Amino acid sequence: MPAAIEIKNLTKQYPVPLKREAVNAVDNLSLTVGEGEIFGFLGANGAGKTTTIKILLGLIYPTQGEASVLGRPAGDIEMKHQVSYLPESPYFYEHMTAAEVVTFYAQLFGMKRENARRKADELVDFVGLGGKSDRNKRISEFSKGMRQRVGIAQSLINDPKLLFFDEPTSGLDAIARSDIRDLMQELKRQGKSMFLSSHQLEDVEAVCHRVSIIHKGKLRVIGPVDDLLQGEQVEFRVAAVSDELSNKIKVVAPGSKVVEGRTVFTEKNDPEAIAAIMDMVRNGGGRIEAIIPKRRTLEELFVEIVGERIVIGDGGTAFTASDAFPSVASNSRVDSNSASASASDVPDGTVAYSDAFNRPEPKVVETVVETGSATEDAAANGAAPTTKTRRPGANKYKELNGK
Amino acid sequence: MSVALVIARNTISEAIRRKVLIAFLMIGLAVIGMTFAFGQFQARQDLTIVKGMGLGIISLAGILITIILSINLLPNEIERRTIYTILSKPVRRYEFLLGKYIGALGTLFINILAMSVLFVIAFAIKQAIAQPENAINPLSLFKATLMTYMQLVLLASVAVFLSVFTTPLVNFFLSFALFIVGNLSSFTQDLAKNGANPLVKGFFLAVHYIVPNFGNFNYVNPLVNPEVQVKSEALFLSQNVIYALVYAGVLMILAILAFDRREV
Repeated sequence: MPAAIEIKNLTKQYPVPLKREAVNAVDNLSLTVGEGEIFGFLGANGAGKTTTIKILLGLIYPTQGEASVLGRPAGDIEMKHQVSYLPESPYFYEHMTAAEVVTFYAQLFGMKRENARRKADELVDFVGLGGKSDRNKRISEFSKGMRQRVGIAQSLINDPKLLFFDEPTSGLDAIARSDIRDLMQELKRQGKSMFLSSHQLEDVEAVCHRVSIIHKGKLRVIGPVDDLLQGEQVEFRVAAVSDELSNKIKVVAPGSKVVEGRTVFTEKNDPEAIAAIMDMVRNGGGRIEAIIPKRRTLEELFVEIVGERIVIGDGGTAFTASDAFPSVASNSRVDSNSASASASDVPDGTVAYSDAFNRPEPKVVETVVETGSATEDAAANGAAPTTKTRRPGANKYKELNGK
Repeated sequence: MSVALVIARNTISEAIRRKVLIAFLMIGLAVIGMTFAFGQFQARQDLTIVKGMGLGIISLAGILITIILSINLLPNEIERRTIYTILSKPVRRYEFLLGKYIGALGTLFINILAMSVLFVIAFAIKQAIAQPENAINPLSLFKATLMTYMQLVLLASVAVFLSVFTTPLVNFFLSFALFIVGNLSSFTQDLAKNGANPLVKGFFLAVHYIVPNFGNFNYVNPLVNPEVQVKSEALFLSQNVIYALVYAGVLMILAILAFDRREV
């Protein structure tokens, strides 16, 4: 699979006045984003996210390293015909209306004025600013959310192959956020590539195929969302536990406790260990009601990385791009133990993907395993339990583009 | 180039709404209108004052509008971050800078034209009332305002060039200083010729040749004092237009080269 973005050893230094040493805004960053991939680029404020995006768009220049976008050097004009950029808190000419702003940007792509106006009107309608009261308003009268919508409209004007979204849902109300999340899902479904920088981690978790976390300019973690969030432990819920079985469980899991008549304990998320416990419970006459992988949230992972409570690798990657994109990640480092999470590894009600990239539709997985049942056996063998699919809500973008 | 024109059109539509520029234009128009109030002088003196004052006001308002507009063309885009969304589109940096510059020239043209038209009308009415012996064609006053405009074209290129490196405040004083030094070109030439110290001579010679000769564009004297004769008016006008365009062109090329490596 060709790479949409390829970054090799990218470093950006800024001189510090009255100091010899420069500060590294981006420090030896290497990563690859595949075509059609939605890539989450996370980091605290000042981590180097926007600097990286600016380098990729040719707004600033790297001190060292290389970057290419859609096979062309960063900042290349031909490349810019196929990408779009939504900056954080976008600013536009205050004296213009939303349609005038979008028309202006359309003309920068060489569109004739009439075509540009027509396309702009469509997009302004699409982002919900086509109402009579909003249509004649100047940008100076717009709220932050409305400006963000204008930003979205201008970013779609060229039907881009690759979108750079920098905090697209920042400062928006719940409805606007939901709309933009739906839009991102639709863009994902259409096979667009997206480089998404966001603090709204739940949005990233829901939309992205892979995420990376950058801290103080260095890449700290990169990998498929499921792999990164996959917990190291599973929780067992066992019913009909005899005293004898209870004692055996306490030997294996000293922290076990009884909750609502069920013995609940956690164990290492290891197929052999899980199988051994299942045998033990079955032979002891107990009934396993559920085995629930303890999955981290992206927020927990983010806090761990950014809070520096854990260090993964040598300032580098815990997971490689090859997990999701073997053909484009030959330069990836560190391990690749992170096999894709199977659906049975996902707790009840959690949005998950069957593998890192190739399944576009999110699924809500219901995991119920019963002792001695066919389902339990299947789960023990790593097969997926029953699933039901949740479709993204709005398909307005699809309608707009007639796709 | 079409992209540059799109940016230019947008620059004009933004600039003509800027309150500070509108204020200068209104003051200019008001002062020109006030020339009707003169009545205490003899007819010939009266018309001479109207000509001198009108052209002077157009020049002064034009200089203020030019400097304030041009020093902010680039910094405003960077400060408001509108440049990010523009340069992330297929817009070459030279197209962006040229577009901004052409937009500034368009704005100046509109301003100078508005003041000139009012001035010429005011003068024509005044002259028709006074009926002096040596009446002139009021339209000939446009030659002076054309020279003023070309002077501003050059001044705008100086300010845009400096805006690539400097803050608007520094640029304001630098552009003004260069404009004043450039108006004293004959003086710096004298100092270069007659200076005793070779270093001083060299310095003033460099200043004379490097700083644009803004004094060249002064066409007020021949209009105000009919005794002052210009040998070849067509040559004078065309030489100055070419001088302004070439000098501005060189400055814009230098500005583009510098802006091409500038981080935004």
